[in-house]
Amino acid sequence: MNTMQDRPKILLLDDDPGILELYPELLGQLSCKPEVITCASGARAIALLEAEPVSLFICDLNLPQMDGLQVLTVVRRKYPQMRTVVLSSVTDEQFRTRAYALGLDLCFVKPTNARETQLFLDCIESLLEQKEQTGFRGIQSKSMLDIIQLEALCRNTSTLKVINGAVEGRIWFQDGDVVDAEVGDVTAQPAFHKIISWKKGNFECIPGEHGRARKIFSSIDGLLLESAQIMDEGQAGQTSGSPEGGTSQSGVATAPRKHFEWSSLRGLEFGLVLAGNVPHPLDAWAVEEPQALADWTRKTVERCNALGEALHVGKLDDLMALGLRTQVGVAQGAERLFCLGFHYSQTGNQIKENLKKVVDAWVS
Amino acid sequence: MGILNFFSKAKAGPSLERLPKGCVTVDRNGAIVTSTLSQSFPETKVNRIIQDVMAIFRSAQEAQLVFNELQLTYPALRITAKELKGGAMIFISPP
Repeated sequence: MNTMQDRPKILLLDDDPGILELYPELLGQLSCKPEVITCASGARAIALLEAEPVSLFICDLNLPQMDGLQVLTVVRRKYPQMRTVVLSSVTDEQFRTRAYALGLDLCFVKPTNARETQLFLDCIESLLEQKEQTGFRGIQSKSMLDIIQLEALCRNTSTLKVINGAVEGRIWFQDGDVVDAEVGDVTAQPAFHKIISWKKGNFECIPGEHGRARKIFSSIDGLLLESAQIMDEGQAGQTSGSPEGGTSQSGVATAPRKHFEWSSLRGLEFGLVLAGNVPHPLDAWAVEEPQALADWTRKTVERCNALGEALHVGKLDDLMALGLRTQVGVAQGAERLFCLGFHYSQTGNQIKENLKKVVDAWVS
Repeated sequence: MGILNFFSKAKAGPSLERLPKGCVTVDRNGAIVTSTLSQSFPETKVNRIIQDVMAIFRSAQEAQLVFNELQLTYPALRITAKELKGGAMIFISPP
């Protein structure tokens, strides 16, 4: 039996007294026996959340004074880790899209029959059971290192397929030895080190290829040791606060540490990567005035994100600025900002595609 | 029977603000010249969009970047702005 401390807390916000009376009873039927707190206004909900943490926040959209989207904007900003669910009679696709854009977990239309009610309760129960997700799907809390060691220890002949965002990598094992690896155009040892540095993703063990030509000849221990050294060096570089490349005092881009093969992008004229609060660029390629471009990018993204928040449409996905001579694409991801300049012959879709490629490469 | 419906009709609850779909033209000072946006969308928010778009055009010029079109894509909205001799034509639509 759950003690008071173990019981998850649910905060339910709705202006309908009938819902506030009925749903605590329904939610009380869940096996985890949650404690349900109710309130009828957005301001009251925010005050309650400030007073005590809850595991799950269920919010209506149609609310007086402060509407559900406004409440969710505040709640998502203040408590990004908290599970949030919309329970509303609003069926308009636009509001669902806007609610999901704010980063909520589930958008549910108020159930009208027993089957829908049960489905809603099942979803809530499943959300309450979820812990913060880390590690690889399939084996929670296991790093890539653990998974590879497991394959080696079992002397397997298999192919480990790892997907991280839009990037896919493969490691081939033969009798527990790593014989080859591949990520995009990168193969052998560099590909292995890249895959092992990934922090999360999905993996799948598929049958091995017996005829696979061997490109990696180091032992598994040697490979893992080498990877650990590379990762340690990378972390040391980050903690010492040294820029991974950047600009010289004269403002000219210095040779950055290679993260991305900029020249592989068709029609690219310049590229710039910025980190959260670091004023100088993390990486710059063929930029004439890196600092001026960095300042413009940072200011513009901040402005666009603030506008998105004011309109309740989520954070900026991307920005395209098209000119007669140059076209610029700006995107954000993994706490970094990306600003790429393209030749005027590139179409909007090509720019978007290339932006996505760069963001995915950095995220991985 | 219709009279009973009249008495039993529930009171309309608060309504959510819909995002606009349409176009607005502004002069170089940011004043609206023409607009096809719904009047139910608050003017303050329309002005906010105009101000931000104009500010992005201005800041780009200051950074020696000359653009004549801006496309801002959000998960639930797309804003496209075309520069018109200091003013702008701004299109707002779902993505």
